[in-house]
Amino acid sequence: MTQTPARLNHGGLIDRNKPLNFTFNGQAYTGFEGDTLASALIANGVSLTARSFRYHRPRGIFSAGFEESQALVCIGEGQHKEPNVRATLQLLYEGLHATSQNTVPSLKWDMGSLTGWFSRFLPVGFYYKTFMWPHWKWYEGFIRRMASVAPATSGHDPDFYNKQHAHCELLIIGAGPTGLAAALAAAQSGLRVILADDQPEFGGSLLWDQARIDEKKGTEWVNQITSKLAKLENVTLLQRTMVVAAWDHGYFTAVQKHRIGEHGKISQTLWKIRSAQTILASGAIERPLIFPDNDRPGIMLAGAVRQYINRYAASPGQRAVIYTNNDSAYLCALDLHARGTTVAAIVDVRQDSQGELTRRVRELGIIVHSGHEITGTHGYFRIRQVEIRPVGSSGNSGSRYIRIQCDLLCTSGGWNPSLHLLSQAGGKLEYNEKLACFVPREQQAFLASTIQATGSANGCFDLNTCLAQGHQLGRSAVEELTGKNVSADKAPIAEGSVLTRDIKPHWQTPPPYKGRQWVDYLHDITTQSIKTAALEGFISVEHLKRYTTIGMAADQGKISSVNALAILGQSTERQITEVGTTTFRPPFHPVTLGALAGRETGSRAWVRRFLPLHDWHIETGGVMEDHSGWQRAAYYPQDNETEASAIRREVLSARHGVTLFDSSSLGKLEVRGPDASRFLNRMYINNVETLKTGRVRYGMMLNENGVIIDDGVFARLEDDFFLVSASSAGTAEIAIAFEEWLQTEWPELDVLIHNATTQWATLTVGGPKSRDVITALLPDVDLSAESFPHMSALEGEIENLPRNIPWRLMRVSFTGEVSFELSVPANYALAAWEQLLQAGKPFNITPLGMEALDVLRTEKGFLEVGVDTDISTSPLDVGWAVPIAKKKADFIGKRSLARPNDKREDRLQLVGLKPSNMKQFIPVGSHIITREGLKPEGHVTSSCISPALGHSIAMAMLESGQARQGEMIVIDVDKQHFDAEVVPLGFYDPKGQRINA
Amino acid sequence: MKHSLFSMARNALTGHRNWPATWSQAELKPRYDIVIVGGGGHGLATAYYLAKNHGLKNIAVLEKGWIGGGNTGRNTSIVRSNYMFEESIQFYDFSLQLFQDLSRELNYNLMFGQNGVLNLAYSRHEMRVMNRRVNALRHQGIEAEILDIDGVRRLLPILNDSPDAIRPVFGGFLQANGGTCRHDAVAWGYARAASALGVDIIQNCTVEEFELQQDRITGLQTSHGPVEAGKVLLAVAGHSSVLAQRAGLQLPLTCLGLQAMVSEPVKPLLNVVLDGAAYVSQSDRGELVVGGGTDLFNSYAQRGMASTVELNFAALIDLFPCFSRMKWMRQWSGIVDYTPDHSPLMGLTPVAGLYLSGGWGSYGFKAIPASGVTMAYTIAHETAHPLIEPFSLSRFESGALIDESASSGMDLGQPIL
Amino acid sequence: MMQIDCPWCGPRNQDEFRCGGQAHIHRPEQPEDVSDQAWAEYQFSRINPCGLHLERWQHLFGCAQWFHMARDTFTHEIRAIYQIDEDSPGGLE
Repeated sequence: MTQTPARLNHGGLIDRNKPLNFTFNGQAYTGFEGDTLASALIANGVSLTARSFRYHRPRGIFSAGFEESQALVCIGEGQHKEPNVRATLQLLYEGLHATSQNTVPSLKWDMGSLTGWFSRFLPVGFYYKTFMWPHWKWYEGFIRRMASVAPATSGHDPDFYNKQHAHCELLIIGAGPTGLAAALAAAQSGLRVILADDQPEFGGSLLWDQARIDEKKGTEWVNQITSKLAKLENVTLLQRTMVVAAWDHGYFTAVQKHRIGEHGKISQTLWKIRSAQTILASGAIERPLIFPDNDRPGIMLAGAVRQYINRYAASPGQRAVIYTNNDSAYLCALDLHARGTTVAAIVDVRQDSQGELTRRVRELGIIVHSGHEITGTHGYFRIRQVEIRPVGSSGNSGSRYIRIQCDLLCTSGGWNPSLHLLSQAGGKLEYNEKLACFVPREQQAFLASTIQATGSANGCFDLNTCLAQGHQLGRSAVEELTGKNVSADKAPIAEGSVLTRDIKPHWQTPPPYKGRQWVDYLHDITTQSIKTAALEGFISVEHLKRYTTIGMAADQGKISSVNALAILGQSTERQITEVGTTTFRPPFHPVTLGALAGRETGSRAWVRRFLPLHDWHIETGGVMEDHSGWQRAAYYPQDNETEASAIRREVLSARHGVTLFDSSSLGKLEVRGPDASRFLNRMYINNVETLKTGRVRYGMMLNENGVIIDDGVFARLEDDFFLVSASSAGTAEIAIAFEEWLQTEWPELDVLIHNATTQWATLTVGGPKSRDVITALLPDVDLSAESFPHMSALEGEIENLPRNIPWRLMRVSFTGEVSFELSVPANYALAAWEQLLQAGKPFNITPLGMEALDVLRTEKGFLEVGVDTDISTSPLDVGWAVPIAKKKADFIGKRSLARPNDKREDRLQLVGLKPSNMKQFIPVGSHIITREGLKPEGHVTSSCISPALGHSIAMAMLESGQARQGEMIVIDVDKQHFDAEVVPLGFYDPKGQRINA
Repeated sequence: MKHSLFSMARNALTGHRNWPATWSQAELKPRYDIVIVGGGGHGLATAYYLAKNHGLKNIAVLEKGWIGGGNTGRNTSIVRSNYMFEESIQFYDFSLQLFQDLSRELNYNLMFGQNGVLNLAYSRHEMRVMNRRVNALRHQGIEAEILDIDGVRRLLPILNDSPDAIRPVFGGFLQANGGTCRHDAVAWGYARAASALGVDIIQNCTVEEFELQQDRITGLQTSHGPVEAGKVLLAVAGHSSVLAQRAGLQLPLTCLGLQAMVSEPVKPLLNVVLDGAAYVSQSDRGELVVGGGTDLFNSYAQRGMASTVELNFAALIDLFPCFSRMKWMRQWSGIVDYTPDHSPLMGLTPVAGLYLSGGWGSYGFKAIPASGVTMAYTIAHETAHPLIEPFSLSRFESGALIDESASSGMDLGQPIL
Repeated sequence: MMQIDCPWCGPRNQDEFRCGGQAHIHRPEQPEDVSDQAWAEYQFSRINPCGLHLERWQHLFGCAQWFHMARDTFTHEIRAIYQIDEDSPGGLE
């Protein structure tokens, strides 16, 4: 068994049969299973662990829990590196490597400490008062590099993180004595109970407090209760689970840790818990007394010292002084003494030296200096001496100063109930003078009314009373939830407490003194900083926090906040109740970002939508890109051709041969019912009611503000059945809008909407030879120009594909050539597609990509919503004034088109452009500028060198465009100017002879 | 006291006991020529410019809590002018120009770091839209450039740009002179300067009612007593509707919750402000500051939602996988009053003597100096400053909306069905 | 993350729903007869209260049905849920 210098021979909850090797700053040490990194370091006699954020002062280990604000280290290397880990929370594992942060070149000899020497010239908020000349950017780089304690990581996270939902009637936060008593009382009811505690084992303070409950050792009682609870189906026990955030309606976020030291596995689970009632048995966090030079390594919270001795069998020092204003620290003295540490003195700021506790410590030979305060300490890397004087003797000559040698100083300034979650949920706190801490207000408003604090979280510091409270609350929670009385066993009973005397607040040592009194250990904020801030007018807690940055470091003020606001009160002659408190914000404790992302990383980070023929597109070499969430082929390069070359080839095929295009993402909203036509007539700017069965019309929809939100065709398949082909990008918005209008405004309309978009694959066969191809698939259908003209629709069934399947066919075209859109059920897409490919072989059928489609429709001057239009474009801007004027009936957005601004003639209007330099490609987004003054008056929205026409063409939005046909305008491309003529849209086959063939 | 190295040294030698108050704690007087309701950046800036540019005295700023405690102290501190429409570009760039000299003018270091604001494009279409935006900016005299993927990589070496990244980045555009600033300092700096010019700043003073006579405002009832006022400005951000209602006005506003989150501090990784899948920058303290999307339901709770935190950090990790093992340290939420077109509401109201600066949604911080100058002008001259005419209340009637939803950073994303 | 009691599906997490803003705003019967000011008011003017708010919600990732909710915008307490074709239940203040 490896014995380390400060490891106690027996006792503690560590497993001496399982030694573990670890390193800290490259040096090898050993510990045991059950140790934290902090307890193992203490057992190895290590006291220096870090340097503070701002002044790089030496730091040690201050606490034993999540409130730790000194021992922040970096664990692991490379991809596994995790910065800002509290050594007090890091469970030890074999092979753990820990390093100090932000120290150059080393922890002991850190150059950053030089700033400490200059710090008297750097008052609080100094950066607001200087670094302005000649300019902030001269200093900024340097400051940014100085400002942080942790090295950044690089690479990918090797761990996985899960998320888990849970619902319960009762959530109990904290499995210390109070929480366990509550769980015991409530669990028998059969209600779903979740009991969560952030430690690896339940028990809370019982893990180190040496208390006896129901006549057994505290830890034995805990084991018994835990076994009992574990057997119940309705109870979920969550160890290593910290509840970090309280949201609305009893919704909580909790983080559970799993494996330690193993990577590539699930390391954390993010729990999302919804509970009807919540018991907050989260305990209390000890705060230190504040005194000059109170930040040396070896100065620790008294309760933490008890934890190290009793729970971890690690002795933080050999000669201790206790500095306290309340009884609880006396127990620390007793524990230290029992385990072989010399207790040189108890320095108690209270005059009252009566009572059982004082008697006990004196019996052991421990000196008690009642009514004394610390005026200074010595020891750079570790404390070695304290200096004290009587309270109230400040400034008197002849006051007696006593110096005491020590290597450990245990301090207790009182306990702060841990009420962050209550506050997050909107609960209000109030200051209790007698207890010198904040407790929940009696009456809580709605949000927090389902959260009840109990035990030391409620300001109760007597174990027996805590057990009774927890028990009672567990019962009453059940009674409230079930409406029935609960008969439960009696509350557990603890031995009586010897902590009888009141606490006496002693927020700081008054002058005269030398040195500085530190309030926030991470950001190095002193009492002087608070005083100066108050002088400068920052007297509210919020201002204090923001100006001094107190409480804004990684510990978020868990230890410093109450001390800070008490000192703020003293600096401004206000009571604590007048000063108030800040609101606590989530999370209670920092959460790994990976745990918040969970499994929504990598391929699950973004929703991507795939067409039914996706695999075919990939296999055929399609270059897949995102189009409004859909993966679609931009082009299909063959034989190493360039992108431009591929696009050109596809365009020419479309114009002269036949192409196959996957349009499956186009919306298919089925609108059925007696009022279908009437309804759509209100949604479209077009006349819908006049559309005959079997016919298709191109239409536009607006929002109520008169802005175009979508365009596309709609078909009347039956008298009361319309198929709305919303755009791929706009389908969701249109589907939602339809439902909203029907349900909330026009419930009297008898219409049913069904979004069948993903049920059907749509295969578009286009080009002069397209009829030959589609006819091969539908031989019995008359698809001649006479029987099935452009903008027609048909339904039918294909046989033997391999079975009979329904199809829908529409003659619509976005390319300007004859074009057939065939829709079949999505799972028959490939079968149909392959048949079309087969039929198209003699005609050299070519797959068509999105880029080629864009060229083809630009040649026709067909607008694309969202490309040629933006969020301010109205249909009047794109030439629809006449059809709109013809429609008498109202439609969504119509009224807005009659507003003054909508009727202006100088609005941006869609026009065609023909650049004078035929070979000059004009990039989309280029601006049109006035000849004089070079002011912008429009921008190019679509553009290409047209293969069909052999020259550059573009579409643009131009001020007063509709009135400027034939005018020569100027386009700016990277400061070069190009002339272009304003021409009508529809450069290619403007009469539409080809499309109607 | 003028801040300088000398004043610091002098104070250091006297133990920092003699720093004067940053602004005077004033008592509410019975009458003011101008009362500004709202002690955030906008209200304080307006007070300052009224005193400085227009030589007006007898001004009070009433703040119901502590100055800068509202949205001014809660935003992600970004200053940029890369908007879409001319009216917005001109206004926000005027503000950015003012920010550049503001530290010196106020003698208070606002720590305005101009390291650039980078927007990312995830498709060809987005690249084309960016080209339009860049050109629009250039034509207004703003330094903006399009970047291809290599250009983006140079600015963001830690970006996840592997070929099988789920959302490959096509490129982006950069406003080189955009950046971040210390938000609290803006409130404190303006407060200090305004106070030095004689403006009364009164904290913990709630306005309970307005006194109106025949459609004209004559005074206010406050928690510190009644005040007569010649003119009143409402600069109360998320409480614009609540206060306007007391003057009988109903505004085209909806209040949503807007969250932001920070990570624990780490060494510098990110110099630019990034507006891509995540909206993120790194503070001088080393914290990553992530702007969350708005919570799409009316809320004055300033609490936020768990799912927003999760979504935003998932997006951040997708961009930068190396951040996965860092930790979320803190979250907060503000109340953003958003207008239907994501452009502000500024200028006169139907109530004579009552002026409004609101509807600032998620884009108010960068506008503070310009808002101050233009509202001061508007109040002093009783007519809207030319730069803010497009943002008047009447635009909703005429239809002259200026829809900046794409550029305002309020992602009102569509669900997928 | 509120818990909302969908009238059809029961209590569900808020992220399944979509908020449709202020309730009981009706589209003018004859928009063509309405002034620009009244049209703007219909489209844009909102009470936006801090406190009790009557609003519309849709269970978008569920039954897709709309319903009404009376909710406090400050505390997020849901005071009532009622059908889309009902007027607000009285006595909520």
